[in-house]
Amino acid sequence: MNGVERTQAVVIGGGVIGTAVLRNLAERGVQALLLEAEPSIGEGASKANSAIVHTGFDAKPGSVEASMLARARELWPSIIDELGIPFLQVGAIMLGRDGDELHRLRTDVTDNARRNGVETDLLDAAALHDMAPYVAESHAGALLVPGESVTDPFWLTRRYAEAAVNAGARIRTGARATALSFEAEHVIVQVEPGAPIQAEQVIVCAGLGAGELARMAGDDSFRVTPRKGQFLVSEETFGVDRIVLPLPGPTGKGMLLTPIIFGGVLLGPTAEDQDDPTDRATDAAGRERILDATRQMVPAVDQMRPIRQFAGLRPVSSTGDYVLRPSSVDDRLYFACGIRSTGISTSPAVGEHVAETVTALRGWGRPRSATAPAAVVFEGEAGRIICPCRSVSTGEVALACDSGIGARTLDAVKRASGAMFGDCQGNRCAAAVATMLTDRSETDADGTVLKGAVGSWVFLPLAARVAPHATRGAQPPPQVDTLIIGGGLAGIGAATAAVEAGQRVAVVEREKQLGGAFRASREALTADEQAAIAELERMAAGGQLDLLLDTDAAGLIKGGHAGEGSWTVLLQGDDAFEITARRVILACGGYTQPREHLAVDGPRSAGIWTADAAHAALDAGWLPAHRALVVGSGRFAAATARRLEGAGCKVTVLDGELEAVRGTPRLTGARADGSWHHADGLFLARRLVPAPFLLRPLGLVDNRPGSLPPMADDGSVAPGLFIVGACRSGDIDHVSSLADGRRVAARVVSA
Amino acid sequence: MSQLLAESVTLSAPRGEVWRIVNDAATLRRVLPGCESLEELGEGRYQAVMASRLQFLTLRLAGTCEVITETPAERFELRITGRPLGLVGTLTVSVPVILADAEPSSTTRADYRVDLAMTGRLAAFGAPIVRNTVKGQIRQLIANVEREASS
Repeated sequence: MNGVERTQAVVIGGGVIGTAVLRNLAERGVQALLLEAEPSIGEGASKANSAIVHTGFDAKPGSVEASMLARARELWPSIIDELGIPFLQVGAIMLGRDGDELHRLRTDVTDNARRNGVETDLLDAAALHDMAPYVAESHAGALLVPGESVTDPFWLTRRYAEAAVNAGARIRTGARATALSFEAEHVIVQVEPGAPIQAEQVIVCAGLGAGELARMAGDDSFRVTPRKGQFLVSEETFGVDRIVLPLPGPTGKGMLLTPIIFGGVLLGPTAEDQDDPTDRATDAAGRERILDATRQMVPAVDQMRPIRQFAGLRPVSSTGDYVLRPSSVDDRLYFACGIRSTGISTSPAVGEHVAETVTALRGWGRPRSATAPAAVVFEGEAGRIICPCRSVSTGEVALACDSGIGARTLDAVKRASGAMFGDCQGNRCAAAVATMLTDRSETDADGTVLKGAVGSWVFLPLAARVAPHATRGAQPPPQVDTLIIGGGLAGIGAATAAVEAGQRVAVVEREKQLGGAFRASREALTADEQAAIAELERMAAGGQLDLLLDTDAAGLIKGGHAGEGSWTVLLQGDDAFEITARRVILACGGYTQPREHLAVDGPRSAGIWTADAAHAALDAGWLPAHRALVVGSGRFAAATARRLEGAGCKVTVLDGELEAVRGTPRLTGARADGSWHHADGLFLARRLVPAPFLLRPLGLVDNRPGSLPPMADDGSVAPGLFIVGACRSGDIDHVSSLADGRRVAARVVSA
Repeated sequence: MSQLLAESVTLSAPRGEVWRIVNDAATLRRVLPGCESLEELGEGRYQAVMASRLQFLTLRLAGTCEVITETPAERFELRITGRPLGLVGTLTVSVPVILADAEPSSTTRADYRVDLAMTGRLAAFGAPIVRNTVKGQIRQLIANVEREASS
């Protein structure tokens, strides 16, 4: 047949199961090709789950799932070591609310665990509260499952894929299998786009798409349906350091809390059976159900302020167990699907099982050879901080784009580097990440940047892209009297007052120009504010202060050359350096509250941003929308609307609360104050969340968004350390920031 | 700084020997887990490069290692301060130690605390993993001191 590509094995689906299978095939010398319909691997169930590595203590004895969990327990140590996988054995505590539940834990659950070969330990109330003081005191005890662990599903999927490629396998993303047919010698896989593929064996690991692929091949032996699980993420853990879960009830396993391996805690999931395999919308009702269920176990949930709500779709098999077998129609088609909620956990075993079975079926096989991907080693200078919430550097984003299989979408960079995962949910750094992504990788020929799925465009290039880099200008002084972090209105007010008081002053600003949120919208400011910016620029030009633009403050360290009460500030431009100051004034404002913090119904469409993202995108030469909805009523919202209009957007400004959004993969509309508005871009500009992130490592604030430390009227939070402006007021329009900066600095320097 | 550990161990080596190991550049380099280089800058102060594998990646830390003596062979602090290569931020590990003769003879009781301070990426990234790794490395350090004493 002309134009047909030939290979031994085709794996359909690039999730954690597909990539694990691919790795195992490649290591056995099988020529294997993986097809993934989306632009990146791990876009299905593998990207939105609890990240727990289950022991199988509660699995149904004798099931395929239980046998895979048992084998996986043996394989995990070598997987962690060979592939370099983040893994923490945190243990789980299944709570008993009363004597009856404790009895069930002691009998039914313990017996089940024993039959599956999993170690458990019963804790009485005292032992439980000693081990987990964050659990509600009313509980009668718990069953400890020490082997339950957490990992990072993105890392795991990526490392399987990298190991497979190292062993000679190929991965084709953006390639959807559209039909399967059997010929005498081969299976033909039709692919869109591309030529058909002729394979000796096809393995379906397509999650929610598996049932449809089976039917294409004439196999109607099972169905796969989606079960939605909504989750909440809290950066503040309130001490939760183990998986905390209830005794399962008649309606399911219930909701849990679990530590996230890179920090924070995950709450959920809901369990909502549905028909639509693409509907990952979240809603306010789901959020409330999660909070209600988890606060019964951990009362501190009431104090949590989640930074993100997301939903994953678990593929539920009509058979009630894994479908891990050859097709009854033709054994050249093999299924590894219906893996509802333990795919991360069993992936080492499923990969091994499938590879061993199909190599035996086809009579293939060579001895297994190790193909560990290169270890990830950070070297050299980190480069600029690109994600201010998590201090992710340009070096880390470059590594995500360049190494291994390479990230090609914003979400793939996010999962590989950790950028955009923090409090502001990427609104302050997405434009810079998009710029790096297009500079370093093969995105669409027209320069469009995708969020994740096909069609999920986020930014379009404007005709004139600005230079992505600016130089710092000044030579940093090693020591100053007053260091001001932030060159917005509050920092400008503080700096001018400190200079006028005869202080040696340095101002550090992460952007390339002064003005903070209004850096490109000075016309929105009052005459006094505009004059203050001009005055500070004159002072800097005249050498009256050191202005360090394009520079981030990365850390505060107590003490320094100026004595006990001084501070050493770690700064990061293209390289790292330090300045010691007798006093430090934090004037770093905050970020606009994103949709992810709010109880808003709807999908996670591309095009939902805050005004911060609009300004950052336009600064970097990106058009973030054609038809924009700006939600807010003050001068910041108005300035954002004007900038978007200036770039060619059709803009509507709404003064109301955002209630719902719709459209996948790109936004098509939003509802505020009861009415739907058509838009392909949403820019929230209603509230500012103060972001004194530098105080977190000092223990002066907790990790909840907007947390502020106790402070005196002059903004003093510790000896020599002050907060001014919107960083303490939370005023998105910065109406009093200039005056606050002036007032605090004048008082502080004269004290 | 936040406290990671506060423990006591009995080392099967005499106190003078333990003290000698931490006060000699050659032996200190051998017992510090992942130590790639250790160059003396002054009394008890060294420039160091240390590597640490956090399961999934290898971090290399460039900075200083100090043995700050309060009472020789009795009270001292091991302090490591540095920047992780390729990442933004700093890491400081402080280990105040009290040594005392223990029973049976020729053994030493070490009471120690481990305090940790991080800024930048390390403070945000994998805090539970970093804390776990530092704990493991301190325990490795103690095992290395015992091994060095018996060699």
